Formats: sequence, C-alpha cells, structure tokens
Amino acid sequence: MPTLPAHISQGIPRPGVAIKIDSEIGRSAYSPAAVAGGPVAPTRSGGAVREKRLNSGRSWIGGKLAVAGVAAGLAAAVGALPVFAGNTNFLNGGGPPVNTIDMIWTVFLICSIVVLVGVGGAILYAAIHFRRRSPDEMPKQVHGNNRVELAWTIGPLVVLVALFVLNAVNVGYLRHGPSPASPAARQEVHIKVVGRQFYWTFYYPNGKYSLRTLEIPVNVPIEISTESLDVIHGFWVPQLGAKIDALPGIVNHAFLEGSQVGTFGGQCYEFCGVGHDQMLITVKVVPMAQYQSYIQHLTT
Amino acid sequence: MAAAELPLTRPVPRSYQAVWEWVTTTDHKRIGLLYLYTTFVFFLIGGLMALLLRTQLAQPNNDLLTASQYNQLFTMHGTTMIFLFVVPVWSAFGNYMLPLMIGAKDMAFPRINAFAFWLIPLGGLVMYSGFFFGGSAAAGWTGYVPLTEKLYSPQVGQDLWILGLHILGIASVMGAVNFLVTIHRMRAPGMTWFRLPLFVWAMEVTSALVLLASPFLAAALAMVLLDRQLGTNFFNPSGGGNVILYQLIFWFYSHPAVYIMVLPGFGVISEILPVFTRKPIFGYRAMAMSMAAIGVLGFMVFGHHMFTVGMPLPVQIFFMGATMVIAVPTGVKIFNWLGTMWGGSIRYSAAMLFAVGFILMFLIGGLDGVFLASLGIDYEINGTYWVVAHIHYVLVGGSLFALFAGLYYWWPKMFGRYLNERLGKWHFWLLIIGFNLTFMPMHFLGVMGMPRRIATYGPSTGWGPLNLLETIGSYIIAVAIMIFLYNVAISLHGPKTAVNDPWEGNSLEWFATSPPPPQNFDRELPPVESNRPLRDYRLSGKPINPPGAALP
Repeated sequence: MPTLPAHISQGIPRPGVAIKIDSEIGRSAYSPAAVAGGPVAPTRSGGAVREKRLNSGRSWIGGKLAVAGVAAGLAAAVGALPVFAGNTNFLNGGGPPVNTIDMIWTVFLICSIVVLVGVGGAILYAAIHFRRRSPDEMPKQVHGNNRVELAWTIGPLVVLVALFVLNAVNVGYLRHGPSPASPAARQEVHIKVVGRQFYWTFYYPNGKYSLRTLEIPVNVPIEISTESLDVIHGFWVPQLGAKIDALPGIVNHAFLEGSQVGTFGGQCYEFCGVGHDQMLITVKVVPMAQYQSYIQHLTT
Repeated sequence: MAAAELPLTRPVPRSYQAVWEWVTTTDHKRIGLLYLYTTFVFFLIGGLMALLLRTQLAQPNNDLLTASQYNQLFTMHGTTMIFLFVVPVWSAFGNYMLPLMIGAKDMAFPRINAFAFWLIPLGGLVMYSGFFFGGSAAAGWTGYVPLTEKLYSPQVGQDLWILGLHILGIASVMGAVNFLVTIHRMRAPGMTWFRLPLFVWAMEVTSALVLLASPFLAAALAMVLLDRQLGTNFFNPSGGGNVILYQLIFWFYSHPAVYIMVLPGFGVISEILPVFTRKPIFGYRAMAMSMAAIGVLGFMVFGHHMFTVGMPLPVQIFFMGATMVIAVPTGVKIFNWLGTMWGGSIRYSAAMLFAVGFILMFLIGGLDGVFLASLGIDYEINGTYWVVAHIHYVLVGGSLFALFAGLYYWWPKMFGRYLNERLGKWHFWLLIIGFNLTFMPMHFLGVMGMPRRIATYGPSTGWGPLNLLETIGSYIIAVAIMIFLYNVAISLHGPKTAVNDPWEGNSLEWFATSPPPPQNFDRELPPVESNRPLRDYRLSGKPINPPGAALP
C-alpha cells in the first residue's frame, strides 16, 4: 500500500465514494483573518500557491532524514555481510528440514521487504512531502474512507492466510520428519538427547553414549527424543533441524537430517543457569560406515 | 468551588511540609507526576544495567561480569523495564491527562489512586533488596520453572522478586479499576464513546486487559512461591508437577501484558498526529475498534511463546493463525496513522518527530514479529537475539518513542514550561540512530545462531563485530537520554511561560491552565459535540490562550 488514491490525498470527492469531510474545508482557522471572518490565505489544499522555503529549518529535517537513511543503510550493510557465514546459521542450511525452513524464510523475507519498503516508504514520503509550508494553511478534513480502510484490512489478511497455509502444510514434516510410509523413514536412527546443567549427553541406538558431541550418519533422518534431568534446556542445531525444548518430566520429539558431511554447531537456547553459555553442541555428520564404527567404540 | 481561591501552582517543595504534601496527596495530577518521576528513575536504573550488559557483550570471552552477575543484571533489567517502567509509566499520563481529557475533576477513587502509586516504589524496593541478601533473582524476567524452584535458585532474592511482582500486580489492578470507573462514570456532558480521545480508549482497553490478565500472573507466581517455601509440587516433576503449566499461566498474563505496554502508546500517537497534521484522525472508529480487537485477540495468542515446548501440532497451528490475525488490526492502526499524515500540514515539533519515529520503528517491530509467528521460522529463531530485537523494537521503538512523544507534547501542560525544541531534535535523532544501531544487528545475530541470555560467547562464533556495533549503539542511546535529562533540567529551571494551548490541541486538557489548578478547570468547559471539542471551540472564535502569549 505505497500511496493513497488521489481523491483522498487531495480531498476531491469521487462519485460513489463517501468521504467524510468537515464543513469548513479549506478555511484556515489559524490566521487572524480567518477568525475575524476576513479573506482566507491561500493554502496547499487550495491547490494554487505553495510557499517557498523561507528558512533552513525545513531542509534541516530532510538532511537529517538522509543522514539517518545512510546510517541505517550502513548498519544493514555491515550486518548483511556475515549473515550467511558460520556453522550455526540456519540460512546456511545443511539438510532437508532446514532447507524447508529456509524456503519459508525466503517467502517471509520477500513479503516483509515489500511491506517495509512500501509502507515505510509511504510513511517517509508523507512525513517529508506534507510538511507545513505556511503557518495558517489548513488541510482538507478527511475523517476516513470506508473503501480504503476495508482494503487495508482485507489485503493483509489475504497475505497472512497464504503465509499461514505455507507454514501449516510444512510443520508436520519439520516436527515429525518424513512420513512413516516413505522409504527414508525405514532407516531412521533414534537418538536420545539428555540435557543437564551444563552439558548434553547423547544416547545411541546401541545403548552407548557420548558427551557434548553428537555424530550422525549423513542423509538419514535422525529421530531425536529430548528430556532434561534438572531445569529446562533447549536442543538446537540450527543447520540440521527445528529446535526443541528438553523438559524435566516430559519427553519431546524432533528430528534432524544432514545432507552433507561436516561439523555443525549449536547451543542451549533456553536459559538454564550460570553455565548456560557453556552448554555447546557439536554435531558431526559423517558417512554411515564411520558412524557405525564411532558408536561401537563409545563407552556404555 | 475552592479552586478559585487556591493559587494556580504551589511552590516547589523545599521543606518537610512540602514533602508531606506530596506523600499524602490524592490529586491525580500530583500522583501522575509521582508515577512519572518514579518510573523514570527505574528507567535510568534499568538503562544502566543494560549498558553493563552491552559492555560485557562487546567482545568475545569478556570477563567484565561473571555469569552470575550477568544473569542477575539481565533478569533485573527486564523486570525493571517491564514491570517498573513501561507498565506503570502509562499510569503517569493516564493519571495526569485522562481526567483532564474527559473533563473530570479527579480520578474516581483518589485515595486508592494514591495507594496504588505508593505500592510501585515499594514493589521495586522489595525486588531490588535481593541484591543485598545474597543476590537478586537470576532466572530471567519470565522466571521459568523449574529454574526458579528452590533447588536451582536458593537465594532469597528469587522470593523477593516474586513478592515484589505481587505488590506491583496489586498496584496495576487497583489502577485499572480506577481508570475504568473514571472513564465510565466521569465523562463530561456530551462526551459519548465515539467522542472520547483515543488515548482514553487506549486506557480503557489497557485497563480491561490489566484487570483480566494480572490475576493469572499472581496465580503463577503464588504457585512458585508455595513450591519454594511450603514444598508443594505444582511445578516439580518428581512430585507429579508440570513445568509447562507455569508457562501457560505466565504467558496468559504476559502476552496481554505486551498490549498493556504498547496500547497506551498507540493512544498517545493517535492524539499527537491529528494535532500536528491539523487533520482529524483517519478512521476514528476503526482506530478505537482495532484497539478493542487487539485487546480481545491478545488473550488468544499466548501459545506463540511456546512453539518449541512440544505442544500438539494442531494447538501450535491455532496459535500461529491467531497471532497472524492480530497483525491485521495492528496493520489497520499503522495504515490509519499514515492516512492521518497523508495530505496533512505536518509541523515537526519534537513530539511529532517522535510520533513519526514511533510509526516507522513499530512497523519494523510488527514485521519481525510476523517471522516469529511463523512456526517454521520460529523453530529456528525462538530463543535467539531475534526475539531480543523484536521485543525492543516493540517496547523501545514502540512504547519508549511514544512515551517521549507524549512527554514533549504534554510537558507544557504538566510543568507550565516548554522543553527546548532544538535539544528535543538532538534527542530524537541520536535516539533513533543509536536505537537502530543497537537493535537492528540483533536480527542478524539471531539468524547467525546467537541465543539470548548468554553471558559471553567464543571468538569463533563470528558474533563479535555485530555485538561491538550494538554496544556502540547503546552508548549513543545513553547520550540521547542524557541530552533529554539536560533538557528537563534547563526547562524546570526556566520561567513558567507555557500557555493553555501551545499546539492547537483538540482535546479538553488544553482548555485548562498549564499546569491546571486543583479541580482542573477554573471556567466552564466547552460543549463536547465532536471528538475534537477544543478545536470546535477555537473555530468558534473564542480565545483559549491569553493574548500575546509565548508559543514554543
């Protein structure tokens, strides 16, 4: 919704569109002449005369806006550089579930940039363009416009419904993994994740376990069950799957999958006490044979 | 009436007599000022905590603060800013302006009003006293169980935190009842519901939310306290308790609390824009109804704070849908503010600058919130710095900008003096630049995998440069706030030159003198025949300001 129709911005009634306008359109109540009932000074809404800039105060605002824009742009540029870097960055997705999340992210990002540029641009345009030019100008008294208001109620609703559906159809996969009927699910590996202050323990299907570092086979959906032995922790490997809480007394389920061999980072995201920042996770995605050998050599 | 015999302003308190007058006052204006002073002191304390936190995070593996100190500070920063600053600060404007705006002499229950105020510093002191008894609460402002149980947080500071919040909750509820009764029973003749100033509408919806939601916070906290002190097992898994129950009850309060913190800001902006654009608010009814809709929907979205706790998928999908729906009335408000500015005659006093800044920053806060509403994206960014960015765009870019807009706007009415406009503009530009430098990079850090509430991070994470940028931004914010304090200081030492109506206001508070006398109005109120009664009065050619008065 970048701009308003001309009939609103200029207060021109259009056939069939009810615009609620005060009776004293165009009259300036603020000039002494108007209060005294004398001739009314020309105003912008009258259309003819636009006051020249009389002092530097106006350009000062435009200049500051430009400075702010440049600063914001610089901040965005500085910020954007490392956005795709690092091994804890979910935009750098390492497997099918995170690729799905990245697809949803991209749709949301495009929509929100369109809205930000459109609406934010319209706000900035209005803020700069409609500055007061003369002390006694009086704009049209537009109280509203039902048609426009309905449009900017329904329009966002339609977009949001689409975004809702995009999520709703994917969320089952993100939480539970591929459906049990698919061939991929048959070779699923189940790993029990246990959090405690302040480290993680990973129990493999053969009953052996590792601390802090988890090894999983590549291209295999890994079914995760999480629980905690003390407070709430959060199990999160950004590039391999959706995060899930590790709760005391309740078992949660999630799934991971990596489609490339490598080392992926993560850490506890649910505040759990003085060692919260030390509760790191390292996940090594390795070929199946290496995984099998690894879990055979762990302690029980 | 006694008003005519009393002096319009009382002397600055210099003796115990004057102090006693302030302590025992039941005048809504003085109580409003007490709210303002008190909450602003808490704002400065919370801000200093934030500077310490940001300094600690400026570089990887920093050891300025220990993890224990960091945890206490971020917990008390959040608690202070939310429960001791943003929630009660709206009672400052609510108390001072709401009776004036509806043409009333005082609040409905002046003594309850005074009592509710004095609970605020008491609650704050109880909460802070934990620092002197082995450490304050350190489990975050959300206080999730079982971290707050005795086993994991043995310090008495956690109990004091709960008791302090209880006291503040009682104050909120008493204030809310007072606002509701005042709005319902004490409006001037002719002031129908659709002629109410939108700030009053905002306080109506806010007060209803406080009244309905606060008992849930009290219940959740009471259960934690019973667990801690009497050994009950509400939230203790080994005794059959459920840790998720706390989150459900807590967020049933704390999501509406987000709207308790920002709706009055919506009201302030909706007051300021028409005055400084010389236009009526665009779509008055939609503005009022969208606030009511946000109030109702605000109770249906609390589950979106819990997308990673393992709720059944249909429940998660419901909360995602409800959360996205609440973006619609919020969007209506932004569009209608744009519609108000469009074609207007915009005068940039500092109040208007802050109002435009509010709309832009709140737009960003709304958009990054939609990312969090999305289940798929939330599975990644929940619990990261993205959430920290979002809450600060809503509560700083939203509530704080609206608060400063309101302060520059109503300052002449409250203190009879103007704030310096040039300093106000410096304040605005430094604040908006510092604010964006501090909180915009947090979005990127969230994407890069930085969890919130970590006391430090390793150099290999790559989070260092952005954190340094944020810390620099936070110091720019501090400079902006210091400029504001300097502005306040020189304003309060200047002569009282403010006229009744410095901004060509629309609502009745500008009809009273600046500041208003006890009982508020020393002459007959103008008739209320629209939602801009004072404008009608001015257009009828009657003077509001004395002739030859100084305007800002």
